[in-house]
Amino acid sequence: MKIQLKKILSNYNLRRYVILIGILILMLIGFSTQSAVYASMANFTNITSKFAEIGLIAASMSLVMLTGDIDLSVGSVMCFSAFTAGALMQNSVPIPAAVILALAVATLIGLMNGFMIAVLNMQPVIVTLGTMTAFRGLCYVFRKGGPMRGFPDESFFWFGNSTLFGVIPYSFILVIVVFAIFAFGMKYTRFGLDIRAIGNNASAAEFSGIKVKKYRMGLFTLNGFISGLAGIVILSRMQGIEAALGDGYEFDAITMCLLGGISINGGKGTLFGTFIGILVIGYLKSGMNIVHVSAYYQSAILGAIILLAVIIGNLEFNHREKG
Amino acid sequence: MKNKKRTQDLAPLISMLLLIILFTVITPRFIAFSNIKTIMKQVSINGILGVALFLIVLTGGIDISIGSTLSLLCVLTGFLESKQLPFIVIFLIVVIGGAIVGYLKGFLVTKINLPDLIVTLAAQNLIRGIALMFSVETYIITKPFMIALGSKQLFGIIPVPFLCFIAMAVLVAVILSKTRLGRRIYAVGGNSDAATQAGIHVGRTKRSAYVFSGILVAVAAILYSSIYQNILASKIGGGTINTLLAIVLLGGASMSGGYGRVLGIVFGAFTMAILNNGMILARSTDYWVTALTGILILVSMLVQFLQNSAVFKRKGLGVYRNK
Amino acid sequence: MDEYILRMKDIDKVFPGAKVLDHACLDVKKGEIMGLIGENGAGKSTLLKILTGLYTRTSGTIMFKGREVSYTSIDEAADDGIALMHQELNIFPNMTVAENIFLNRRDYVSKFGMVQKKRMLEDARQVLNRLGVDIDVTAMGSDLSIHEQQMVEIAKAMSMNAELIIMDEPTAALPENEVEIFFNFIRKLNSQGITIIYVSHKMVEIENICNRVTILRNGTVVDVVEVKDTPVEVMINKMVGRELDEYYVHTPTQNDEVLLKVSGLSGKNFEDVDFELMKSEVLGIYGLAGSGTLELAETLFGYLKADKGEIILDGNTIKKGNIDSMVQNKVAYVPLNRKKDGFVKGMSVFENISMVGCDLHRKGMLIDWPRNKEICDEYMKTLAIKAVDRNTHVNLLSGGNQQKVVLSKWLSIHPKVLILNEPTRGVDVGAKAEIYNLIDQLVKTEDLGIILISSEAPEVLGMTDRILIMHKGRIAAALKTEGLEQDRLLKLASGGKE
Repeated sequence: MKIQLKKILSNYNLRRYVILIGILILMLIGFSTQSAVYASMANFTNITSKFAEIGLIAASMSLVMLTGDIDLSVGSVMCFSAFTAGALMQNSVPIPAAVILALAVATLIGLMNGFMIAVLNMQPVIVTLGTMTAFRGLCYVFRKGGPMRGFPDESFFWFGNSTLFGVIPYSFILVIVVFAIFAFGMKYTRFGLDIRAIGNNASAAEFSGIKVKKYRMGLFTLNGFISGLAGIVILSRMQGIEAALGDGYEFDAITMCLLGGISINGGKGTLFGTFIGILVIGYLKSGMNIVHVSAYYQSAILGAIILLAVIIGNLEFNHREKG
Repeated sequence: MKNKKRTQDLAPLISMLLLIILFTVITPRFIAFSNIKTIMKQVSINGILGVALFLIVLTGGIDISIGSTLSLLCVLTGFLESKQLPFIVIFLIVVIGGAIVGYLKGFLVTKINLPDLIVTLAAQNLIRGIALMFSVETYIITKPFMIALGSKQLFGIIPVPFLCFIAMAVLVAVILSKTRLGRRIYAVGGNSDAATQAGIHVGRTKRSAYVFSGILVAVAAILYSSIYQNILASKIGGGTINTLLAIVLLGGASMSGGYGRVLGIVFGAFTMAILNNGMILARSTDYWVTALTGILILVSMLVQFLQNSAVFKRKGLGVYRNK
Repeated sequence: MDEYILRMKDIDKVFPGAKVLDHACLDVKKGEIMGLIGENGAGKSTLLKILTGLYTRTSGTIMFKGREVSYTSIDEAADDGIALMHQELNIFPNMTVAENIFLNRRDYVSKFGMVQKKRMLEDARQVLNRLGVDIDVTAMGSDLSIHEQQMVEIAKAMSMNAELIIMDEPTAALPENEVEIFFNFIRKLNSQGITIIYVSHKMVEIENICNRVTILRNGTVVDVVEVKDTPVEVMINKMVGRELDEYYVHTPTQNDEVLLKVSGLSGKNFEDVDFELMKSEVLGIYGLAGSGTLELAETLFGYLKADKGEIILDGNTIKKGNIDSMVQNKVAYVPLNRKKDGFVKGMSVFENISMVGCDLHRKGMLIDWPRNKEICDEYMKTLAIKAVDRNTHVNLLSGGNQQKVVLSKWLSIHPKVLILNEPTRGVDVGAKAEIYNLIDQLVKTEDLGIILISSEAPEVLGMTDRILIMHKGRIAAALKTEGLEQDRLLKLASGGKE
């Protein structure tokens, strides 16, 4: 038993899982003393529905970060895709067509990011900060800064506001499905090995015949697509869209990834880690709301968490380097 | 080779002149004397902050927390002013505060070896949270000297904040081109390996740049407080990083460090101020400004890319292969 | 006055777990050019880093100009008159030549803390004049050719009024035809009374330029010899520590089936290359650094684009010249820079070995990991990779075992053409012999041809069936290895005619 535990703790990923699940349990116990609702099923439904969009983004962001890149444009792209879909619907385009077009737009934005980064070799941070700003601005242009509400056919609101067995929101089931598909692809195709190799040493990966450029471009495109999907989900859940929505989502998604053990330098971490990261952040935010921590303190606390997560990851990294 | 340096500054100058011509044609009010004064006032804060970011970019780094640092230091200014301290004491404390914040960021980046993006991303949230904690109510500046600083004009023409901006720009330009610290900053950004070999302490130089940049933000904070007089943390520095990044890129700085001059940054700051001012005058909604800022960032990156690839093709720089 | 400008005595350096230097001594006479040779890991760099204060020594004494010294930084050493010219060129692309020379010099700062740029320009002109080179001092670093960069590096050393200049593999980045010009500079410097320590792998250079040579092996000084009295072979034997022929095991093979045919291939740094590789053949490509062998190899593997020419593999012309299609055509490449291009250090032995060929073994659409693991274990066994298990991270292995991992990665796809670029560089002697054995085994048992690129003459002579000799990007000669003498090889490679 003792040896078993030691083995678990010596593995980077397993150790992360143990720590995160420990934190989750501690929070469940701690915050429950403040409010009986905290550990309830209702709160679970509430949290998972609220964090479904960021969760989706965190899934593909994990892949982008595994190759050592970063994408700051996700929040803006999500909002823009929601506006696009909404505007199309208001102009009486049928729902499926509107959704497909909005997804196509988001995918194209991702492709543009990917092209500038992977093919033209520009820094991911600057490029995606540029697209982030540009498309956030365009979101404001749609309704001159105001919200978009009221659609001819509002049947699609159902998706963001219903639950399976009254417990799990359908939107969160979508998150689980996306994670499962990605995780399956990572494990049973070359995909996982390839992107971790790229994140660890892009040059050696290229010399092993791995298509580094195509992977990087593809992942940014995928990230655009998933952000677009998140936009559709949020449009359905919020029954409308506002221009400022999704501001800071990139930050939350990156926090979840880092917390879940994805290394900021790329190459390390798992999707499962990110998945627990979503739950930890979701429950943490919910807990802070229950004990009435103001939004201001919350952002400071998240800032501190991100720093801690990176410092710890970095220490482990350096430690292993020396060994 | 002198010519090359000149063309470096020429590009930002030309884009600025083009914008001036464009807006003058669209609305004659643009070139009105009172409007020029407005632009001069508007450019001073973002101009100083742009130079502050430029210092970091020169070393090859990035700081996306400048906006929230500004809000923290403004709150500090308001707090000290409400305690009826003399201006010089306020000034000194705020400058020292700016230096400390800068040092801490530099410390995390160079000593703990964390990626600057993540450090400043986290710092952005952390600092904003702290600023909001201290800014429960609006501080109102009543000190006559500060009000004068923000509103007086030299010869009735040139606003004092603008003079401060120019003074800061000249100071930084001299330090960068004439002192050892300045040359070290360029050296670290140009080739950090070579800098190490030349006996330059890369970490220390980067920390100096962060401290120096923090001091500039402090000066900007004093000016901001003097001009706007109402200080509420939540209102300050929201979207600043995008504007600043556009300024630095338009100013001809290279995001990988080592290239660019203060004069270019000044032109870049003017371009952004003119864009902002002109768009509003031209009765376009100012929502377009955000979108255009993002587009400008992307376009400047593309221009930089085209310039670089031209240079590389011409020289066939074998040594920089795979870099 | 002491005849010796520098005396390093009984220098020990212990890194955690390894003794790198063991009572190493280095005595350099004033005004001489002292060569310093040794295999990779023999301790050359460590010794010099201790001298210039980059490392601290565990024990021992250093006397410079008759005084005992102990520098803590490059700066201090420079102030005292020791300049270090690094293997890589350290040019700032964004600064002028003058600034490149005088950057970070305390004596170019005025009383008010301002950098004296005018004085820099004047002095830079002067230094370059003294060297007799014509470079515009206001030119930017990015505009300099490699040769000019080298000159600027020397000017930097000169400008410090250095009495002792350490040159660590200074010709590594220099095109081969400029080496002689560079040597003339060294002789010129030397005639001005400047002492030089010259570190190099290339025996030709050592022979050409040095007065005496200190030979290091495994952290100890084996011998100090006069160059003019000592044949190169003797120096090499002392450096390697055994007769060279011992571990070259290759026996010639005979097969006339053409596997790979390259005709009229031109690309970066090489042109008009024609050759054929037979099945079961080890074809050597020998050339000095900068002769185009690296670029030829990387073009064959699809990393660089060919300008023109044709590559025909097994009778089929290869149309798309990128790495991916080369790998699909079963061309494998073991790159020169193992650490950067060869293996992924943050990943395990298993992950590295299965990186190329993992999807060759599938169950339906899905990768069959258990089968891959078996294959990995097989290679670990046959190549005798010393690692705890297949989950060990590759950066924990020795250089030789790392190279074996890279080899296994490629062998797992059963390549038709295996290109080895300096496969034994930075590999210890034991592993070297194992790799040579492996090469010999492979051509005899597997269905492939091997291209062995090397700048070590004994290696190509000992391990190949035929040799292509490259000079300035062209094939100077293609010869049978049997009966080829080393001096003829060297002569052809350095542009000599027969």
